Amino acid sequence: MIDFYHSPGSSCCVKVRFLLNEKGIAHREHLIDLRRGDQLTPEFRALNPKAEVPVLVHDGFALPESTVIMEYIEDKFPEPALRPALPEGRARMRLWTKWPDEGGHIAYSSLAFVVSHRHQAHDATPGWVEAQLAEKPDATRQERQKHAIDLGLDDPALATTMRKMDKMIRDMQASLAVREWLAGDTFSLADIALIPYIVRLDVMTLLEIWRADCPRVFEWLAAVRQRRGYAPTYDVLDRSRTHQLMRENGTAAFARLKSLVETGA
Amino acid sequence: MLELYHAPGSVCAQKVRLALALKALPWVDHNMNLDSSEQYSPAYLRLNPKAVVPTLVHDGRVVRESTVICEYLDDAFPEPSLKPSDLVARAEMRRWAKIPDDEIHAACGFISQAGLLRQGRLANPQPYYDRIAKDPNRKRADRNRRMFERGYGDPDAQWGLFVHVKLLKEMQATLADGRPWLVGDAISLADIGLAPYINRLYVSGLAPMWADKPAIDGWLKRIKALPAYAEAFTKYTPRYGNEPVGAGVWPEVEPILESGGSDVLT
Repeated sequence: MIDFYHSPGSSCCVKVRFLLNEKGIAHREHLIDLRRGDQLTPEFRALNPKAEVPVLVHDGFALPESTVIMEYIEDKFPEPALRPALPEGRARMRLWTKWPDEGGHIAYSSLAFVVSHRHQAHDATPGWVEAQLAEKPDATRQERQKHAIDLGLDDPALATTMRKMDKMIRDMQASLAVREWLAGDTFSLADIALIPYIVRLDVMTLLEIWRADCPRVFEWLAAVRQRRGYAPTYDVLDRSRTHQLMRENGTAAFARLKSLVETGA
Repeated sequence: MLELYHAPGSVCAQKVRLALALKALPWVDHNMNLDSSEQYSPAYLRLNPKAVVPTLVHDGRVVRESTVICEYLDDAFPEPSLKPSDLVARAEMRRWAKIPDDEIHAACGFISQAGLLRQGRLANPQPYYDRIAKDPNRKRADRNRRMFERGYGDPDAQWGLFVHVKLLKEMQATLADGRPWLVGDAISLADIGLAPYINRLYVSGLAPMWADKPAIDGWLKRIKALPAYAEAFTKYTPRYGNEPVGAGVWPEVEPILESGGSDVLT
């Protein structure tokens, strides 16, 4: 039996859900409400002392870290294979799966926060700012979040964030120009690792910034939306108020962010 | 044919050389001189746009990033295996193998700048100041100058120390049951991934950090007793081979660690 502890909006959780759905692996979902602090309960900390989602529990073995979870699922449920068969393709795949873990995820989440999530402060109760900061795992990220709350689109860190996004999307375009999927001719964990970020850039309308330069990324996203794993992972999210707000707020921030990319490039 | 672009003292290169040595794989040695900026040559940038070592080239196929290279070597040359056959243990292995990429590598860089590398530069600092002046990344240049001037007193260096304290605690907790290796019955990519970092602490004269953690001492001794260790480490950095060249720094570091680090780590 697989128990999956996750928060629906979390990109790291989306990766694993997409994989479970793509492979058709039955699992029990346990929703962890990060705002309410479900991750800080002793029960959850027993599964992951770092108090982060997602956690996969398989036959009593509790495993955190989405990238490690994805490799574990491939090891345990090899069919249909979502790792390239040859070592070279696997190495290519692992370069992509490292992207979120090595700064990509943090860069994306600060962007989404500045563009959209921070606006939810207006309809929140007192103490919202403190709660936002408490969600962050260390002092550096708390400080970054504080700047983002105070400065919004004027946060100077945003230029660096947009440079990272620009590089990632151009790297994807370069890879997809020579092969069907990111790691080779078949869909793999490499694609899944990037899906949550590209989908959300699209939801925020920001992906349009790269429409002319990176057409293969748009074709890739259209193909991703045809995959078996997409609908069960995104149906509810795509209709959610969060995505609706992200679309509105992204549209409002579009011109500013586009000019940041153009001046940074 | 396997070719490795590497540098003698790079921790990431040590990791890959250790995996190669454990598999007894022969490789063509492209020893890069990082001090003379060979990594920025157009030829190397084509192999590795980030201008970092190591890069593995296998029959013309380019593989980058040490953690990815190690998995690649184990996929392409499965025997002797460097992964546990038990799949739960394999997932545990990958959690350990990720630690350098998540945090420890940056922390190790800071400690090395403020400690081992700084000590080598103190007698004649001008060439180092010249090199900092040429660094296109100003943020990194400023940080390196600060760490050179302040040593372990620098806040980034102290963050680096406390990140290692956290890792040593996790390793001790795992090894405390008497197991020889971090995961499973044999040496795996978990041990290989962390060996260069713990070895760097040792070489930097920081072994007293695990004076109260005997399991780590035993683990490091087992690593250093491997013939592959001599092949991967000592051969390339004979000066750092077996003696802590940073001996003598402990009186400076001990009070920092005793402060507990609650202000730099949460």
